[in-house]
Amino acid sequence: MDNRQNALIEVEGLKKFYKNRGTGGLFKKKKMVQAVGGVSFEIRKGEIFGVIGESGCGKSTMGRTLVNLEAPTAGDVRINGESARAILQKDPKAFHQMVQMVFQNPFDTFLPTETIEQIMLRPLEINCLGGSEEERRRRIVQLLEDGGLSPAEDFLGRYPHELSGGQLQRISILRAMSVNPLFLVVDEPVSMLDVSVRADIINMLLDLTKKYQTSILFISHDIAVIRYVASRTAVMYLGRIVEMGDTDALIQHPMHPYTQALVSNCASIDIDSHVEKIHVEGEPPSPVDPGPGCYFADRCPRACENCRQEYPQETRLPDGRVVACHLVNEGVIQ
Amino acid sequence: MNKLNIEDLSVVYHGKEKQVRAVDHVSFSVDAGDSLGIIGESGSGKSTMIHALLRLLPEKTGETRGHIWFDDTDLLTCDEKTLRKLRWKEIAVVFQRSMNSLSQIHTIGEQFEDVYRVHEPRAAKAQMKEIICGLFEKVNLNPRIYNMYPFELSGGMQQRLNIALSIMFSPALLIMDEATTALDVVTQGQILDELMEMEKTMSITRLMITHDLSVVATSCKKILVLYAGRLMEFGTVEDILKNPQHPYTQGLIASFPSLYGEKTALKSIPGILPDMSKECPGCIFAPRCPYADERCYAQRPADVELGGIHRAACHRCKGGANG
Amino acid sequence: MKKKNFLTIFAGYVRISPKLLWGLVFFAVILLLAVLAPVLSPYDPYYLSDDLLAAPLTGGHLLGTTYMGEDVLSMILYGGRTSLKIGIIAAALSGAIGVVLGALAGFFGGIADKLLTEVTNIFLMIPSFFLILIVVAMFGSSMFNVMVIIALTSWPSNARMMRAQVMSLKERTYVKSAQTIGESKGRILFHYIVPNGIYPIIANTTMNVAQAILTEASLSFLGLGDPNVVSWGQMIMSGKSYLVNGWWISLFAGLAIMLVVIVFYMIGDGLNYAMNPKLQSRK
Repeated sequence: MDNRQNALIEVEGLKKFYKNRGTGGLFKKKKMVQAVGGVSFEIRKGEIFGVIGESGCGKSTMGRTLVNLEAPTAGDVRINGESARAILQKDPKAFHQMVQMVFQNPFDTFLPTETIEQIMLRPLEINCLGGSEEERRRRIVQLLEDGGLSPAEDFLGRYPHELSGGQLQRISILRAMSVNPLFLVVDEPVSMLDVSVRADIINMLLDLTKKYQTSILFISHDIAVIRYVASRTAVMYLGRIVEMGDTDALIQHPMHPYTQALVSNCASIDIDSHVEKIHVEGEPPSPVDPGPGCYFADRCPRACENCRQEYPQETRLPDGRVVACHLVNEGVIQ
Repeated sequence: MNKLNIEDLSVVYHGKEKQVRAVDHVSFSVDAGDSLGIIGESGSGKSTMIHALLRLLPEKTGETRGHIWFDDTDLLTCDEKTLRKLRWKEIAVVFQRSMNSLSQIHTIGEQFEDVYRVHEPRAAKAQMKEIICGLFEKVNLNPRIYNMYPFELSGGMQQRLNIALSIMFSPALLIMDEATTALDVVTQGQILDELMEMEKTMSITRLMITHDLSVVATSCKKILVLYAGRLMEFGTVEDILKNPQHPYTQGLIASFPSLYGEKTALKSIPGILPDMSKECPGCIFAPRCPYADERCYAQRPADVELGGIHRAACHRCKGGANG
Repeated sequence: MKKKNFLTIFAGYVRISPKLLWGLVFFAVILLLAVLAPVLSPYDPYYLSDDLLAAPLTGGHLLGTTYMGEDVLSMILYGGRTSLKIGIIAAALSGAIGVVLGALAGFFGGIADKLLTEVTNIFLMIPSFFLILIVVAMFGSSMFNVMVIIALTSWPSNARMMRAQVMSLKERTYVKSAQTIGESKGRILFHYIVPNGIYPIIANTTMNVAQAILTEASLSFLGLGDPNVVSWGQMIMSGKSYLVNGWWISLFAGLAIMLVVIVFYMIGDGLNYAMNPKLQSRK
């Protein structure tokens, strides 16, 4: 499997459960909420890996688990072959230099009482990078200028509330990149920005992977954005990956019935390509007790008896696509 | 016939030190059964325009000029009583975060019945329930929720309830202010389908206020592009998406990734939104426009007719020809 | 360029709430009077003159004298020093304890949080004034003891507030982003979280100053204050027996307590109003 050989990030069976608050009587055992229910994937060096799914599907929790904002309940993450848990135990600073994150809300990413200079210098100070104070300052000036925020001197003395969302998101990316991470998790980086400045942020991320060979996990609910940035994409539903593969192929020829419904219902600005929307009834089941079968079975227009009994195995198809669906396993969907 | 005709609408917010022209001389009209998407980024005045239309602006600080004709009634000057009659039954609105508009201590069924009785006082209970459950199905909700309380539902489901409530009396004018933005892709797609289906049988005029060009492209017939309170371009969906004439519209489309078709390089529009409290004698987009010349800064462009209903406010456009 | 630091935030609050402004102005006046007491006082507060129970405006005594011939005005000015000192130090101490314990409990959660919640519940349940009485009876009534006891009984409300603030602030994106760049836990708590959530505790602490002044006055009134310093509570107590023929002793001391308490409540209330946009929309 040549996939694994040059994999930078390997995630195996990652799970994140939360204690269910409130419900559950005195003697009943408290039930667990399954936010992420066992996901496995690899990201290659310099690759942008997309994750799509609807709100509450666990994609953000997964991203936060990867950067250790949440401790995983089970599973393993390996960075360059080394276990993330081991790196964290040995030297947390080394972990934070390898793995960085960009958040959805740029207006809340920084302390409102610090200047951009203080904000940008902080990662270098923590990790004792970049030499003397004067050298560090030169370095962040260079970073800001390269990142399209010039003249940098104009920005250094300003406070976050004086900048626009697009500028703040740039700073967020530049700060994350200032420690030269191997891996960057970006969670809905453009959803709070105006349409006309989104392209800048997206192009900036694309440039970074090209220039520094940084691997990026790009989380979004917007399939059109994912199509533009990600080479491979995973589709999540209720904490699990239902389908994963080459982004273009996935959008053009979705195999899992959920992916089919998702893509067909997605609005697009191409008014010529009319796609018949697949109608899906009901709501996703509760993440507390999703049942033994496929989580999508109750809403799936093509579900059969087997789907309700047993969660389908993930199958890797010849073209590298991974699908977790009985119908695909049985060859009904091709 | 024009169902809604907005003539030279301006809204000025009077602040302590400055005045902000949130909507600046905007005119357009929609026919009965039409669907119009109003596209704009933050600060474009799209929400202010809707608040003006519903007369919801704070009287002390928001000054409205122009006319908003709804059939033969000017919504800006008619008396309170006429306005109250029109609201909800004729004009219904759903806002982005209207989740809090439902009472948390009454069942959903009770609340829908109450609203229904306001306009149909003598409705029979069984018949009412049937109609209400029909509404639930239209927004992809299980009729089981009839006896549930709003707090038992997710935010997306509550938002769908509000959409169901707004179409209860098949209003002549349905306004959706980013109403489907927070919904899941699948749900949004299905609700938009359902609305378009309804419009085929009933004469509903729909205004969709959104920043999402793709939603408008799939669900509306006409598009109005607003920028910094001014009308940039107006036309059918084909006019705007296939033959955009205003540089702002062109920039907007170029910055929007598409789901199908070729992957072209995405381009942002450089620059930031102008300070709308400052007087702007020329085109308000000029500082960010790649083609701007002296005239653009000096003189405000008039709307140029481009055939059909298509028009754009740009000096470079010449009537009928490509700019 | 507008700097967004504590001073400008505070200036903004003053602009929003006239109550806060006037509270601060009066506080400045009171503080000045207390500081300049040795200069302003016509007599030494312990000096026993020959005018016993002189009425106000007689014999050079603006507010009269006590039954021992002490000048009431001088006593009030010096008593203000005692009241302010006890009030401010006790409230600040209670604020500091509350902030630290509440912040730690809210940030780390788990057992620390459960422990703090139980302890605050116990403190909120026991009638604190009787606790104070018992402690004073046991350890004697020096000014230091009184301050410490007031602080030790009033910190739970601050701790509760700080805990709630920390619990909500630790979910904010800037805290998460600080974590991802590798900030230490201590710095996240005391640099990113506490400074942004401390304002309600500041408002509460100013109110606590008023409360502490009242508690001290009550203790002194019961004869459990520090006998070595002049205080308003003591004045009221000593004037109690002369209410008919020496009403001015208790009256002016009582007025002084009332004024100072009102001023601190004005500051606290004004701060609360200025920091809470919800209150401002309700007019």
